[in-house]
Amino acid sequence: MIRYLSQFTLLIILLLLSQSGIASDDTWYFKAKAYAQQTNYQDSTIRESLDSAGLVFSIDYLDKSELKLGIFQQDIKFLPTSSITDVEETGVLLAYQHHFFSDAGRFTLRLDAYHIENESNFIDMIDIANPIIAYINNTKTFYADLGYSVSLYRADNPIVEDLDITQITPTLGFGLNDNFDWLQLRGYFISPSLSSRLPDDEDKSAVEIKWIHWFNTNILSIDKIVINLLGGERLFAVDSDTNTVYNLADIQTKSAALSIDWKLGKSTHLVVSGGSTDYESLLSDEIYSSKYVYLNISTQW
Amino acid sequence: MKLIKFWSILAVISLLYTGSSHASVSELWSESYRYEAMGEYATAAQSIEPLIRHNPRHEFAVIRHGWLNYLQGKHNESIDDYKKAIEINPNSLDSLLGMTLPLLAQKRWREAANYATKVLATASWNYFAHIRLMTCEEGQGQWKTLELHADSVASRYPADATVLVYLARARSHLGKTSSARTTYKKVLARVPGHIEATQYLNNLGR
Repeated sequence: MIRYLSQFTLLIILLLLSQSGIASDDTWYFKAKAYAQQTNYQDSTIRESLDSAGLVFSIDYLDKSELKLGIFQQDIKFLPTSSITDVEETGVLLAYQHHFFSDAGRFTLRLDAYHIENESNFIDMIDIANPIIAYINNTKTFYADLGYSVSLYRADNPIVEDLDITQITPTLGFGLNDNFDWLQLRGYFISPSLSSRLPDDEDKSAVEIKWIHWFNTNILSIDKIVINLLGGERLFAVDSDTNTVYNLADIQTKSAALSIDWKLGKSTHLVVSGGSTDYESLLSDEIYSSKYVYLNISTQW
Repeated sequence: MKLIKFWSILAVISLLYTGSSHASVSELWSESYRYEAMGEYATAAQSIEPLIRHNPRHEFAVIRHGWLNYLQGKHNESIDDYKKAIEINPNSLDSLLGMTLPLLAQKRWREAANYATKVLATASWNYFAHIRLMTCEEGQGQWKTLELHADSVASRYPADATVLVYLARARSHLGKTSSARTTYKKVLARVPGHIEATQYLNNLGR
C-alpha cells in the first residue's frame, strides 16, 4: 500500500504540474484524475490482495466531444501458500466520445479501447474495444445506452488457448427529485468463448443498480454520494462508467459500494469509496470476498 | 414628348410597385408579430420566410426566424439561424445573445457560456449576457464562481431581482445560510411573493 500511496502522490504531482503548462480557453477544457485502490481478499486460499493506481487525462471540446487517455498499473498478490507468482499489470485506456444534439436530447457515440499487459505466463495481453451509443433527454431525466464490448485475452504461450469475451450492457437511467437524484440500472450479458482457460462457456448475466444523490445544500462540502449494488454473475466484465476492467478469472456474484465525492474549491474533487464483492472461484468451489478502499482526486481547468 | 411620356409612365409604375412592395413586406412583419402574440410561432416564422427566400442575407429576418424557431422548441434549427446571422454580421450582439437561448435549452452550458463571453468582450456589463453566463455556471454547479459573479453583477444592477436569486442560490449551495437568507429577503423586497424566496425563508422559519 505504501508503494501505491507513493505512486499516487507522484501522480498528483504530475497532475498539478500538468495544469501549469496548459491554459484552458473558453473552448477547450482539461481534466486530470489520479487514483489509487487497495483490495484485500478474505476466505481465499489463493488470493491475497490487489493494489492499483492510475492517471487519466481528458480534453473536452466545448460540450461536443471528449478525448481521454489513461494509464494504470496493478499488482495482484497471491498467498505464499498458493505458490502462484504475483502478477504486475500495466494498461492504457484511449477513449473518444462525440455528442450529437437534437430537439429531443443528446446522442453520444463513444469508443473506449484498453490494452493491458502482464508478466504472468498465463495471460500476456488483453485488448478490449467497447463501443457505446447513448441518449439523454434535454431535461436530464431519462438516459439510455447500449454498450458492447469484446475482450481478447491472448497469451504468448501457445499451450494457452485464446479467450474472447463479449459483453452487452443495456442501461437505463432516471433523474428524480429535480435531478438531485439519479437512479441507473445496467444489465450485464456476458458470453465467453469456448476455451481451455474456462471450465465452461456458459453465458453470465448480472444487474447493477446505481443511486446518486447530489446535495442541495452544503453538508461538509460533500457534492454527492453514490451507492452501487450488483447481483447475478459477472465474469471478465468491463465497467464503462469507471473504465474498470475486471480481469480476475472468478465470478463476481454480489457487490456493494459507497462513494463520497467532496468538492474542494472551484473544480477539484476528492472521491473516497469503499466496497465489498463476493466471488465464486471458476476452478474450485471456493467462495471468497474482497474489500476495497478507493481514493481519487480530480481537477478541471 | 414621347420620351417624357415613357419616363412618366415608368415612374408611376415604379412608384406603384415600390408602394405595393413596401405594403406587402410590412404586412408580412405585422402578420408575423400578430401570430407570435397568439402563440402561433410556426405560422409567425412562416410569415417571414418569403423575405429570407428573397434575400438569404436579410439579417433581421434571419435573427427573428432563429427566435421563432427557439420558441417552437426547434433548437437545432434556431442554432442554424443564429449561426447564419452571426456570419452575416459578426459584430451583432443580438445574434450572439440569441444563440445562447437554444444552447441553454439543450443544456450546452459551455457553448452558451462561450457566446455570452463573446458578448461581454464587447459589452462588459451587458445584463442579458451576464444572466445567461450565470445560468451556465449554475448548470455546471460552479457555485463559488456563480457567487462571485452574481455579487459583482448585483452591484451594477442593484434593483434587479433575478441577479439576486442567482446570488442567493449560490450562497445556499455553499452553505452560507445567513447570507442566502439576507439575499432572498432582498429578492422579496423587489418581487413580493417571489415563490423561491418565500419557500426558502419559510423553510428556515424566516
